[in-house]
Amino acid sequence: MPGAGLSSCWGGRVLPLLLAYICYLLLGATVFQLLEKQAEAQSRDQFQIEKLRFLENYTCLDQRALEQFVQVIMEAWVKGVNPKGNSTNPSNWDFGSSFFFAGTVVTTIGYGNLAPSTEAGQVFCVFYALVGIPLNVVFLNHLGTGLRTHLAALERWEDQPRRSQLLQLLGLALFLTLGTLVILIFPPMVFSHVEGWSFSEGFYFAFITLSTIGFGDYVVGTDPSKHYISVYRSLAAIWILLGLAWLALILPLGPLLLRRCSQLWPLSRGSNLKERGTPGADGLPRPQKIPISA
Amino acid sequence: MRGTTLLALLALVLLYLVSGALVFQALEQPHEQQAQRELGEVREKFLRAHPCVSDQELGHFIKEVADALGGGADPETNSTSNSSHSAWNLGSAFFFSGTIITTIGYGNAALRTDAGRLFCIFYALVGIPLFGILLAGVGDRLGSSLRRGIGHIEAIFLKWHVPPELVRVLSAVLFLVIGCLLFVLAPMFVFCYVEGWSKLEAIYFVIVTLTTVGFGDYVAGADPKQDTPAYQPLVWFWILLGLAYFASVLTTIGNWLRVVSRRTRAEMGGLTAQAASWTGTVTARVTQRAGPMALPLEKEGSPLPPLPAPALPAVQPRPPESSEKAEPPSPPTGSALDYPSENLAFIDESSDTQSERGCALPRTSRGRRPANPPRKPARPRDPGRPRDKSKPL
Repeated sequence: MPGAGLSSCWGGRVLPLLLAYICYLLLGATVFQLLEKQAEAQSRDQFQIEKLRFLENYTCLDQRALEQFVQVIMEAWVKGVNPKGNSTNPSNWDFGSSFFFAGTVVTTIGYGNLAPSTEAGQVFCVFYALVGIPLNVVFLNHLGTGLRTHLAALERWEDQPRRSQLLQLLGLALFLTLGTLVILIFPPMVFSHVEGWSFSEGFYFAFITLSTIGFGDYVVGTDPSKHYISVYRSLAAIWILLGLAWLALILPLGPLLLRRCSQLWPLSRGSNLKERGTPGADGLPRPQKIPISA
Repeated sequence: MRGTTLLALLALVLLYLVSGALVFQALEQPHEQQAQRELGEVREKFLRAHPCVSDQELGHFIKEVADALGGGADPETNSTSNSSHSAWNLGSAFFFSGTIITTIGYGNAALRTDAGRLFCIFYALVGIPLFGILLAGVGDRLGSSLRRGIGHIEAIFLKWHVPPELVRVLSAVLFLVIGCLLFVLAPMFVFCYVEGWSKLEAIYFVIVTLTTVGFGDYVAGADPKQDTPAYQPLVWFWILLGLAYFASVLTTIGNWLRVVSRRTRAEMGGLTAQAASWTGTVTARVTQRAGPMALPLEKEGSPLPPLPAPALPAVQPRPPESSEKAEPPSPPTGSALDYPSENLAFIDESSDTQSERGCALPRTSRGRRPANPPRKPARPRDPGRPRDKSKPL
C-alpha cells in the first residue's frame, strides 16, 4: 500500500527533478574527470620519478635528502595521490570516482581525500557547488514533502475499521523497518566487509557520511591494494543519495508516528469507537470530522 | 527571535563547543603524540640504517608517512620538536568541534580513537540541530538588519521615482553585494594575507567552507608555523555569520531554480497552470512547515518568525513568545539531515519576501502567514475525498 501511493504522488514532480539531479551529477562527473585526470596523472608520474631517483641515491642518503623526500610525499598526498601504491594505482578521477566526487560536493559531504587541484577545477567546483547544493536541498525537500502528503492519507483512518488501521500501521512499520535495514544498516556492513574495516568503523563512516560531515578519514574505494569492481564508487555515491533521501523521509516521520501510536493506543483498548473523537495533538482535521460522522 | 534568547543560545553553543573541544583534546592528544613518537622512531631507525636502505624498508617508511598524513600527524616535525605544536590544542579542538556541528568536516584532523569516534557521533547528534537553531536565529538577526539598511536605500530610490520593479532588483543585488563584501571578499583578503594563499585559493576556501562542503585541502590556521591562538576561533565566528548569509544565497539560487522550472511548465500549461503550481508549492511549503504534520512546531518555530520588513512592519505580528520559550530543548532526535533544509527554510521565506516584496506585497510576502488559516481547511481535502464517498452511505 505505501509503495503504490508513493509512486503515484511522487511521479508528477519528483521524477523530472530526479532526472535533472542525476543529469547534473553526471555532468559534474564528466567535467571533473576532464579537468582533473591529466593533472593527477602528471603529479603521480612525478611522484614515481622522485621515488625512483631516491632509490638510486639511497646509499648516500642524508637528512636533507630525507626531508626532501618527505616533502614530496606530502605534496603527493595533498594532490590526492596515495603514496602507498605504485603507478598502476587506479585513477582517482576515473568516471566512477568523479561521480562519487560530484556527489560529495552537492551533498556538502566533502570528504577531502579528493579535491580539485587545478585552477580550472577549483573555479568549476565553486560554481558547481553554488548550483548543485540548492538543487540537492530542493530535491530532498520534495522527497520529504511527497511522503508527507502520502501519509496525510492516513488521516483517513477514522473512516476505516479498526483492524485495517492496525494492518496499515503494521505495513507502514514493516516498510520503514525494511527500508532502514536495507538503506542504513546493510550498506555499512557491506562496506566494512569490502574495505576490511571493523563494524564500528563502518558505522562511523556511515554516520560521518550521512550527517554530511565527511571527514574523509574513512572513504570507500581508496585502498590501492584492493581490487574493487568498477562501479563500486558509483554504487557508493548512489547509496549516499539514497541514504540522505531516506533520512529526509523518515526523520520528520518520527513525531507523526508517535502521535499516531498514541492515538491508536486508546483505540485498541476501548472497543467504543466514539473514543476516537478525543482531540489529537493536531486540532484541525478532527473537529471537522466529528460533525460529519455524527 | 529576541536578543536575549539569541544570546543565551549563542552562549549555549559556545559552551557546547568548548566542552567538546576539551573532550576531544583529552581523547585525541595522547594518541596523536603517540603517533608522532612512533613516526619519529621509524624515521630514526630508517636514518640509522640508511646506508643499506632496502626497497621494502622504504615502502614501510612511506606507509608510515602516509598513515601519519591521514591521522593528522605532521611528518615534517621530528620527535624532539613535537611538543610545540599540536593539532589538538584547545583552539584547534574548538575549531574541530565547530567543523563537526556545522557539518563542514574538513578532515585535516580526524578522530583516531574509538572513544573519540563514539563521542563524536553523539556530539554531532545533539550539536547539529543545536547549531541549526542558532544559525536560524543569527540569520534572522543578520537578515533583518541588512534588510533594514536596504530598506532605507530603497526608500531613497522610491523617492526618486525609480520604478518599483527596478528597486526590487536593485535591493536584491544590493543584498548580495553587501553580503559578498562582508563575508566573502573581506575574509578573502584576510586569508590571502595571513595564510599566504593566492586570491583564487582564498575564494575557493571561502566557498568550500561556507557551503559546508569542507574538503580540507585548504584549512585556515592549520599551518603549524604560525601560532596565533585566537585565530581559529575568530575563523569560526566568521563561519557562523557567513553560513547564515550563504544559506540565504543558496536558497535564493534554489528559488531561482524553482522559478525556472515553474516557468518552463507555465509555458506549456499556460498561466493558470503556473498559478496553480505556485499555490501548490506554497501550500506544500506552508503545510510542510506549519501544517498538521508539524507537531514539533517548537523545533521549526525558529525559522518561522517572519522578518520584519521595513515596508510593512506592523502587518504581521510576531508569534507569541511562548513558542520561542519552548525552543531551546529541541528534540535531540532532530535530524542531522534536516539541518540544511531547516536552516535554509527560514531564509527561504525571507528571500522570497525579499524578491517578491516589490510587486507582490499583498499576495505572498506578508500574505503567506495570514493565508495559513484559510489553507488549513484546504488541507483536510485528502481526508475529505473519502468523506464525500461516505456521504451517500
